[in-house]
Amino acid sequence: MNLTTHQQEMLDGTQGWPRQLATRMLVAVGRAYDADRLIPVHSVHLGLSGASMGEAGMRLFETLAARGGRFVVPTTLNILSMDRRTAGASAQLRDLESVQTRIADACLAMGAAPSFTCNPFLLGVTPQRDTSVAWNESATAPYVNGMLGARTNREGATALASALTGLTAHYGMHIPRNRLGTRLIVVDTPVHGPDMFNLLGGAVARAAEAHIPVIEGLDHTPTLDEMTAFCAAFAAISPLPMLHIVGVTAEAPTRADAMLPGHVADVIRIDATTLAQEARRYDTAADTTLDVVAIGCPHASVAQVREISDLLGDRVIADTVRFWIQVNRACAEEVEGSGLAARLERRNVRLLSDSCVHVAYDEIPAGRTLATNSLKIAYLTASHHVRVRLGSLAQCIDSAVAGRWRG
Amino acid sequence: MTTLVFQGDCLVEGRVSGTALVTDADLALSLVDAATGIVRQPGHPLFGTSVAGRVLIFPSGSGSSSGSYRLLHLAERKTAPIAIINVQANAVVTAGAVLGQVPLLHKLAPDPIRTIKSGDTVDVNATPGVVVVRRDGDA
Repeated sequence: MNLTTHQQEMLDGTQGWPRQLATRMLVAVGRAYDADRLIPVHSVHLGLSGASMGEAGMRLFETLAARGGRFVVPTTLNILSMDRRTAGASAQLRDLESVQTRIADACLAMGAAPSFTCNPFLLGVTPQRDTSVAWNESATAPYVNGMLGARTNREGATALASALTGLTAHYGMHIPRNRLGTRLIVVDTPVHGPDMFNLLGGAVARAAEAHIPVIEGLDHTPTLDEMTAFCAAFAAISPLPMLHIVGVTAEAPTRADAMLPGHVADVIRIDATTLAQEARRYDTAADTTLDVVAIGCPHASVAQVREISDLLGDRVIADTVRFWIQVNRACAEEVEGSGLAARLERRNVRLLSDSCVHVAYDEIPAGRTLATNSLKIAYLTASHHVRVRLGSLAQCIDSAVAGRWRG
Repeated sequence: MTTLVFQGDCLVEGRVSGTALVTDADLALSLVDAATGIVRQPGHPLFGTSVAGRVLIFPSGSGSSSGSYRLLHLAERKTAPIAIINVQANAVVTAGAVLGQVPLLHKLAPDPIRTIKSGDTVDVNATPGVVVVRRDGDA
């Protein structure tokens, strides 16, 4: 790999240990993918959940901050394993929460923005087209690459390295040819609303297999809430960081623009039956018991919180059910300021800010049943010995009021 | 005594000798238990087996990107593999190997998954990318 004098100095350690460690990571990953060089990134979105980083991650972040590590490009932060508003309330969770607080504090000391969300697009954080970024949180990659036409690979600890250096290895999604589609998927049924786009994301991921999909047949340009639901579901099932929707996404004004030239694509059709199959795939509940409902994966918008309130009307969630709406802090504060939060609280609906049920230290006990309108939560939770119901938002609300799942 | 020599690309430097643990299935480092080094990935051929202190050989990484931090955690707890050999290393394993200072090689010839057996004694000299397997009796 060809390094500039400045990059070689970072690798040699003359610019301090944090940048040396970061550059080592980037150079090693670059070598693994035969990258020719390191390139600048415009922004970073960084994962830091205590549940996945652990104490080793905490020591790493604190040491980096103490030894002068600073984030040299705008860096937003992903979700936490707790709600900062209620941290410390549970004696059982206090030690774990202290790990999360220290990781977050180290990130803030290094210059990160306290966004604490898996859905930074709701905050207006949108990378510019054709620019390279390093974004952690798999659900953001298809949105950044597809919808926005910016460039990111699916990042992990390498996002930390990019924040410390402002660089990433030149491979994968940073190379235009690798972004082109090789499978055509035609949607043969009307798809409206985040719940249906969520199912479509799973269905497209399965139909695409290892091929970047080029999607046709949608009858409208998806809304932000539809598109983020679609991308999160897609990324939960598929390892691909990219998708095209002809006439919608940045690099797909036409099918010809989005497809790899000379590539003869198979056509796969998705119809109402495919979507119905996708919906049933995640049901692992044995009976109609219902313990927890989680809405807001990715984090819900204020409009979605309002929709939940409207759908609920004068009804109250059953006392036996915990009903969470997962949001970012700005959304929580807006909802609280408008009085909507108080109204929801009276109906037994709780806001979970900065976090989600999947990464929260306050885990759902094994054997309980969770209902959600998010394919990603349904998919991830099923591996935690928690029973799952995947339904529409209205179905989740009606069931939570009844205290039993209503199919 | 049979001796097999492999040549590959070094991604993280180091020189160690130890016992091989080989699988032909991709491995999610995020699903290796940090305290014990035992693989907890459902359905994986190594499920229930500890990777601690082994020369761990698998095709590529899979699963959550948090696997990099898990490898650091394993290294701190002394439950990490002493070296990793991949067919094609991915970003999660590579960044984790840098953080945990675990020697890492990939793209070995001949194919290490088919040739090296669990229990073989392996000398890893990552810097020049050389791996030597010593085995009692015929190969």
